[in-house]
Amino acid sequence: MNNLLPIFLMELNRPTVFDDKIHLVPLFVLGFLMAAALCLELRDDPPSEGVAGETSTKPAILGLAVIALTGLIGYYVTWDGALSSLVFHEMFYNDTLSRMSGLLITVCALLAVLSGPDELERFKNLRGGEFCALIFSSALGMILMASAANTMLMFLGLELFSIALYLLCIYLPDRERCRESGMKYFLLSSAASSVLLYGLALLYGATGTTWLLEMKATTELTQSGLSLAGFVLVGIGLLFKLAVVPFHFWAPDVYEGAPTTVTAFMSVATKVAALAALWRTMDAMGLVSVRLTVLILFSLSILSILVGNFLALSQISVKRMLAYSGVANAGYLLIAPVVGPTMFKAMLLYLATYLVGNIGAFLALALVEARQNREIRRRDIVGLFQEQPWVAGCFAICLVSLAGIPPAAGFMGKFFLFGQAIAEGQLVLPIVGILGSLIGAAYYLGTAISLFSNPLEEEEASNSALLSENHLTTKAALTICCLGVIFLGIYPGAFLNLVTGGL
Amino acid sequence: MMINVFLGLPLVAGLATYLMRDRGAKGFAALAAGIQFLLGLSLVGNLSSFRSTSYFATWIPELGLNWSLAIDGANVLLVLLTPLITLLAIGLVGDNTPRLSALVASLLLLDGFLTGLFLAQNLGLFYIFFEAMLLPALILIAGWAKRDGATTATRFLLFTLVGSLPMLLGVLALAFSGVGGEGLEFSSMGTLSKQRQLYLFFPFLLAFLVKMPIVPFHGWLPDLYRNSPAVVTAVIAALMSKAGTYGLLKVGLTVFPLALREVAGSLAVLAVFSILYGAFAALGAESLKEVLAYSSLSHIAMIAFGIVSLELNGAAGAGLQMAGHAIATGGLFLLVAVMENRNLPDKLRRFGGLAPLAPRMGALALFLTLASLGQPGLGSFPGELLILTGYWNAASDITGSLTTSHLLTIAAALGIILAAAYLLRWYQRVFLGETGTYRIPKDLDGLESAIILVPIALTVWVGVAPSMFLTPIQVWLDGVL
Repeated sequence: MNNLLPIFLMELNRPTVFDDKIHLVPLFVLGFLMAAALCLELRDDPPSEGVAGETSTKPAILGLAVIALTGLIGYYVTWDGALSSLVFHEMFYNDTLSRMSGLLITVCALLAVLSGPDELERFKNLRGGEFCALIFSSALGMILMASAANTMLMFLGLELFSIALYLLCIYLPDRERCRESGMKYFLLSSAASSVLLYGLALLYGATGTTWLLEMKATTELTQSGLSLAGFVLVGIGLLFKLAVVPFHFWAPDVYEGAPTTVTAFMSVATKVAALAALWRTMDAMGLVSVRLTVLILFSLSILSILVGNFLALSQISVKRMLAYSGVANAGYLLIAPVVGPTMFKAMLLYLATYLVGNIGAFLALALVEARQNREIRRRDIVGLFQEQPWVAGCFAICLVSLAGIPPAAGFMGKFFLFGQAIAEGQLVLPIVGILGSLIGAAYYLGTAISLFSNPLEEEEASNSALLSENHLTTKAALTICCLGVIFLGIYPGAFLNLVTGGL
Repeated sequence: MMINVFLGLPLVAGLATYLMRDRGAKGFAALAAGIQFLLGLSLVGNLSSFRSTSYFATWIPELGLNWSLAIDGANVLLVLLTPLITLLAIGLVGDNTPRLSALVASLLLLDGFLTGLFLAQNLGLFYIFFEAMLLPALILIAGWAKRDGATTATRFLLFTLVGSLPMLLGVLALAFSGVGGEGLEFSSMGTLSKQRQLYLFFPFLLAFLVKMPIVPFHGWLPDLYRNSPAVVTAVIAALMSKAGTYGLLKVGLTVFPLALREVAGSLAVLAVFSILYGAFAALGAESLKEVLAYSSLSHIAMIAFGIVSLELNGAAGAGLQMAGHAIATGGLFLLVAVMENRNLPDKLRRFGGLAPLAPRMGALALFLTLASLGQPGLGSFPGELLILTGYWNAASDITGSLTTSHLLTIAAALGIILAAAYLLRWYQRVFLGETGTYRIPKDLDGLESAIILVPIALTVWVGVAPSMFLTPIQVWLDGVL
């Protein structure tokens, strides 16, 4: 059997060396952006408050990042989907999953770069270049992890983006809560990473290889307790990143403590990377994964949907509510790997709709925070539509999308995800999913309703402390999200057409 | 293609109106609704011999969704009434309402989504519009309610979603279990086995019953009708409630005919219970809008009663009465909107003797009250008569003797008698007798009279020449029953 494998690999229509390098373009671009952002940051000392405008490197970094990332998005969108291969010494999958997760992660990074520096300015923290460099570095790690054909590379990607995220989470060290949650994330996440690494070691012990394709060849024929144990540990590590119940305890605290734009980025991009890695690992586990899927992932999906939604319902802070809803959405996403490979398109569409809706909601929240200069509780946003009609309108659109009400994007995501599951004969998960959507609609739309409701019933004293905010790029990012919500809601076919092949 | 413009116009104009300033927004929105209405008239042409207009394009084949619209016999009246009543409501929005542009924009969006709902010939598209119309409705309730906007809106939201999310499950089950090759078209789905129809019909039925609403799913109704501004209530009572009855008629008869036949008896009992419940609640209600709210509940249940007769006359009567009720109740709530613009109170006990003070208001209100209670010669009479005779005949066809069905018809007819009681009581308490404690209002001005005269003219037209309005629905029913 081991002799068959090299032949199989040679049979793959292997591209030339030049082609190999082409497919690493995104990584080079992100690496270059990271270096460029850092260099621009080094050029000047952190400016003092008064002269911030003169020496700020923000426009240069932003311009560079927007051009490069837009180019990268264009590269992903126009990439020839029929081609599917292993590149760079077989370390790197170059297939639809790599491409789509790369696309989604790049979009997340673009939105984060557009909005992050604005939020830092609010806290008089002007190291925007460093912030962007960390975003690029974590995007790079996520793309590596999502495309890795070798478990070592997967772990490398994981660590690359985790370390960047640790730093991003404590980026506002003046805030007690930010430091606390950053530390919490660091400790728990590194523990999860080591569990994952241990699992990889066991898998290596069981199969004698670190290549996913070779692992698949082994596990398709036999299954040992060792590989089972290894897979469980790897799964725990990935599910932790996905924030699936019962590995979700870090999520609300970290999401709440981190800068809101960082939360927006990590809540979606991490899920894309972890889900892609989970999808690849499960594919590589052959027989082993079949049993485990039914047993464990199935129940974790249900648990996440119910626990996440119920806890979100009872939150007072809007940010915490969105954080718990992230747990619930991880549950919806798990439906895809549970049901099987036919869910591929549905999973990617759901991720895309979740991206625009969720990042949009967090960005709108960041704008409200900037205006009211405090943590936002649900009753702080009552009547927001009168003060900030554009922000409130976009916020409402994103919340409607998250709730899964047509004609917003979220509806199409849920429709396709649940429907495909039903088509595969899986009835329980869609029913639980729809039940969860009902609870979800109560808090998402409840929040949206309060945006529009009449604030005259409330005391008007709170309105006095409003700051003027001018966050133009954040508003641009929010508008992009809203347009995405509407576009994907009306014509999801445009995205589905990009998903040309299977795994 | 014109049908797409007909549907797209209010949606695009609505979105544009959100971005406008208050000044001019009302005129713009009224213009949009007016043009839409005229477009509708030109699409329909002559009612009694109209050709159905349709448009079809594949949209998302993976999900069985097609962009499939048509004006047919079942929806033609509602399709015309939707822009018309929206136009009238926009015309009566008070000029000093806060955030006026957002209010009329939401009314236009509601108009657009309702139009889409009535036009949709694809179950998935139908569901999308059914859910989407919730959004402008919620904005309207939350933003402009007299009191407890958020609570009222949330209650409405929860009731509706509990009804309609199970419907999503039904749509999904149909979409992904390979029914027909053409996706979720209504026309290709009459072939389900009886067993599957029974399973899948219940989520749909629940959604429709909540939307109408029928007792015991009416918990959201009194609050909403009482707290919303009357222009909004007019649109909700006249048109949005029809989403439920139209859904029962269209989806019930075309997709789930066998299942509908199976549950028709129990639905009739529920409907009769609702007719009487609404009537007695209206008799006891103490506020201007509450009486009309419960009256609407009772009349809507009568429409549902006609549909579940599953008989040509009864169902055709229900189809006609959807229009009749929309005109009469819409007109009454529009009149209440006029009164609200004059800051008149809401409690009945503070009213009295309004007719001599504002004679035009009194006269028009009397007309609409009579229309609503089913006065022969006015719009509600032919529909209700057909519903009752239809159900009676359907019962007599089976057995010659007196059956439960006959008793149900008698009980439903009692609802009409009670309607006379509570609506005349309403009119008497507000317009006649001792002058109550309120600031004496201006009488209707020219524009307001003109607006209120539109439903009056329509109700006379429907009452005098019902056959013209009946023909399309009868032709349609011939095809499905």
